[in-house]
Amino acid sequence: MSSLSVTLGRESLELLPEGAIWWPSRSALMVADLHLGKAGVFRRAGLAIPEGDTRATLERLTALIRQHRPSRVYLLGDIVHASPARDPALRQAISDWRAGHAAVTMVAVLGNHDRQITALRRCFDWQPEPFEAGGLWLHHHPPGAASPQGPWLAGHWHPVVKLRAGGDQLRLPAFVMPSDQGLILPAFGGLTGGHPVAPRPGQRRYPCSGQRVFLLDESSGAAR
Amino acid sequence: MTAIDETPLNAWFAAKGWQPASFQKAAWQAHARGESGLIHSATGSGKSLAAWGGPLAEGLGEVNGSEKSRRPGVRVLWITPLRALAGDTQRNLRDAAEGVGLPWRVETRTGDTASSARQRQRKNPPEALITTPESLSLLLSYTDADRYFRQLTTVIVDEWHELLGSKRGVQLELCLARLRRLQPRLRTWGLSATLGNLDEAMATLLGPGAHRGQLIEGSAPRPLRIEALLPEASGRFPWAGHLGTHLIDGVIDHLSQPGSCLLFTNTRSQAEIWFESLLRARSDWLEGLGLHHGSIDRELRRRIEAGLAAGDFRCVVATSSLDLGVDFSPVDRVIQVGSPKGVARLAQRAGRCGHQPDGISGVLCVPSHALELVEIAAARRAWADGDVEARRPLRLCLDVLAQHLVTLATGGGFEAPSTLEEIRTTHAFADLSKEAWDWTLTFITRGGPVLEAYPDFHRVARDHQGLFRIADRRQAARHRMSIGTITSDAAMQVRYQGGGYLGTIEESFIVRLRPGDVFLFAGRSLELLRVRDLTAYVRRAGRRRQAVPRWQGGRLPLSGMLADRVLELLAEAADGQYREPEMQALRPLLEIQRQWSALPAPGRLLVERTRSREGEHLFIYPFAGRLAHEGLATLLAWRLAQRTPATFSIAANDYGFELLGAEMPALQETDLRPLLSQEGLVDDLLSSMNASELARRQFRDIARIAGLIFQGYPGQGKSARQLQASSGLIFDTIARYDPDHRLVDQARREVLEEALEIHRLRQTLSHIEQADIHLAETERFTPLAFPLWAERLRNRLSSQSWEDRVARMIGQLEKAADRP
Repeated sequence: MSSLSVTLGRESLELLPEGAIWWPSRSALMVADLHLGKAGVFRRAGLAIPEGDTRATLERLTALIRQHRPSRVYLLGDIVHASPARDPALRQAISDWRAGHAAVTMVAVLGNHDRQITALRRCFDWQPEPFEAGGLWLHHHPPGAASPQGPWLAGHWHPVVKLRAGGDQLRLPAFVMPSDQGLILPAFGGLTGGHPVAPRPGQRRYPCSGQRVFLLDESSGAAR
Repeated sequence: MTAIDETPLNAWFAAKGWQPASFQKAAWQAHARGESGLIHSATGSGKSLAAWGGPLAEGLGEVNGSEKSRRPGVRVLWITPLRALAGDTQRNLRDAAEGVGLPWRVETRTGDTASSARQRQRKNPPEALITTPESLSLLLSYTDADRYFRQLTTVIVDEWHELLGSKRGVQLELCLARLRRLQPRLRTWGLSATLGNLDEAMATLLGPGAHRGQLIEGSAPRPLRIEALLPEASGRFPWAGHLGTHLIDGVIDHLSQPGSCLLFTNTRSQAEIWFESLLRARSDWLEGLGLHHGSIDRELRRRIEAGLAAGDFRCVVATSSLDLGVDFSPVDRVIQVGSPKGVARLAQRAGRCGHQPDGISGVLCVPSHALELVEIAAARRAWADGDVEARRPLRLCLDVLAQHLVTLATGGGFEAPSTLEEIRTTHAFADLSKEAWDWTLTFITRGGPVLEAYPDFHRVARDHQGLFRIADRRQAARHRMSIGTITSDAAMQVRYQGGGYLGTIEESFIVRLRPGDVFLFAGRSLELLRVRDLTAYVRRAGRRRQAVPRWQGGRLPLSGMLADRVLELLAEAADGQYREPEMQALRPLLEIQRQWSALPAPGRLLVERTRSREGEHLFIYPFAGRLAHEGLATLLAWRLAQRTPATFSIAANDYGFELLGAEMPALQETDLRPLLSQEGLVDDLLSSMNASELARRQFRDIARIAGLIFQGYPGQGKSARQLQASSGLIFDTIARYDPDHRLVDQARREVLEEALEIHRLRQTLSHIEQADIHLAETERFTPLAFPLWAERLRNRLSSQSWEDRVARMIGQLEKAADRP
């Protein structure tokens, strides 16, 4: 397992190979786009997709919490795929999981999928974007060219990179730094798919394989 | 139903100046006796009337007879594989009905039919209905299907050979089983081009349990002249390549003759390139050149077909999209660019050529590289000997079965035991096990046998009478939308920015382009502006540099039969016999091959080793077709890498394959034998190929057919977004949380059978076991090796770890990026 450190604003962040961020100075974990309950939405629409992903996603987050012992967890939007109002099993799974980590503060930035979340009101400290924490601005939607407030983190894109060389090809979830001022997290949920991000000058992409994080683009002059 | 009155038919034939052929009469009489069967003959010989005459005569008898004739209901169903053909078929059938004085309505019912017409047809069915397998399935999904088909006497399946061997064919088998249950005396007649397995084709159509049908052979096959466009004496053939445009001058000479021409290519990208090249060479022909392939807008295609019939075109460049359509618009000449791949295919394409003065239809083959000349000579020999490829029907496709069962549930509902019996009357499901049946029922009712994995799933439910019925109207509407998606690939519409539809293109091509990129499509140079909601918006581009879309389907392997003939010709060349003009033209090249190495022959496996700056090359030529070679190459590389860790590059074509490595162990015959043994074939193959990755890709179609992917309603792109997930993601989820899922299993099986042609692979290995191995060390690439070396699509097989692979790939990418 090896992570990679990047600097955003004045903060040093560790990109974890699991697709999460460890923020040592605030003892915080950050993840984006869990999309819990997505398989259930499919099933209610008549598509026979088996359940399992919601629990697996929460278990992966539990493993990270056990490993890093954060005092805070920041969830950057799209915690649920659709309103939990119609899915009692989902509500139960999330509250049970939350109860298991009662000592950890959990802030959830509202994403475009997080609608009618009254049932989960008490599980998280829901905040509209952007939410300021320790000098960084937490969004769900990546802000345009630059966030007016300052260095930012976001999700929503589900970034992946496609690697192709010599007939071999791979598709990996990735962190993307469009500039020194912003960082987009890969989707943490298992049933989320991805949006390929092409190389661009000044942008750095960090694919993660589950075991390692790689830097894909050398960006001249960028702080390392 | 014994004797029929043929007088009106004979009179109409006479009025047309024709005379019924004996096979036509035989078919009419067999139909009158209540028999079913298959009529096969060359294109354009009057198969349609052979099948249509029986029902017409019977219809006349009814009209003149009892009041039964006034009962509404479809009498004859005419199934066509392509909805584009429905219009022409309708005209022909209607002409004949009017000609004999039968007041029948002949209508079409396809995806193109307006909903008002469909409504009218449901209330007041025409006597004869022309439809596609998908639309027939859709008709069965309405609750009044049994009323609708109460008067049905005959089903005629046109171009059955096109459906046989595909999942659409399986879908049709299931629909026919249903119709036979509604109408036990139903007669089924198939029309087919010549096939190597006509008996099996008929048994598949009629159902294996049925009485033996009548196999009626049409007129003797028309003589077929297969010629090759040979270069000038001084001209040289490229040793490799795939476009063939180096022979464009010869083609233009050929096209300068009066009359119309169809120029067939093997892939849509070849078609685009040829169209553009012809246009560039002869801009004065602008009005007389057309382009026709499956991605082009239907309306545009129709205009081109009409223009072709009217003689407006000098040349239409086409792909298999124009292979079908037997009875309309014969042209004066047919050109085939590139390998014919198979005899049946070449003969069918040549059949689009009308009778020439000497009564012979001909095809001019344009080789895209030198060795294809052998294939042309081989095709001619095979045709002369009456050898044609077989097409094997598919079996046990549970995705199609699941779709069909939901269709029945959406219709009047179905009862399990009798439906199982009905399903087992089909060829595809004759051996369906009780377990597979139960699983499929569970799949459509509860999602899967792992109960806790599928809460809240409702698609089909059992009602209080024990009938399986669709859960609700929403599900019914959604299912009807998804019927008919068996063939469609994830297609994106191509539209002009200001409106105007150009056609559809595979998503996989568009995603590789970025806005601003220019590509060639529908004979136009287009600039991609943006992609939104499965639509690519474009505008005309002036720039020259273009990407050409690559469509799937261009990777058809050389047929085994043709490959055997190629080997036979090469063996003759090894003995110094060059009979055919193509072989004579190739003689200098084959002499080089013989001097530098050897010529392969039946019973002799040629293996060449060459060293180059790239490393050590191993070339092996089993002549088993590209797919089997890809599998063999991967297998061999994997088995070699098991001995010593190594990374090999792999290339394959229809003749053989290449392994390239930095080092290659010494390989004597005794070393090669175990590497090419059949032992552990399937296990080794599965571990060597990225089998799960292949299965994941194969799952795309299965998921679509079985209803695991939401297709969305037209114009409902946005609200459906919540339900979008790629088939790959669904495959991963199912494989992880319901590992015994039979559709995942089916994807793996299909990869082995279709993507790797496991049967052919196994057969090849068994031939190799019997064969002599001829090892040759060569200084340079031989004429057989060169095309493999030039093959640009190389696969790599590595025994390196996954993390190392990523690191290496990133290293290579950076190296590439560093270049100025």
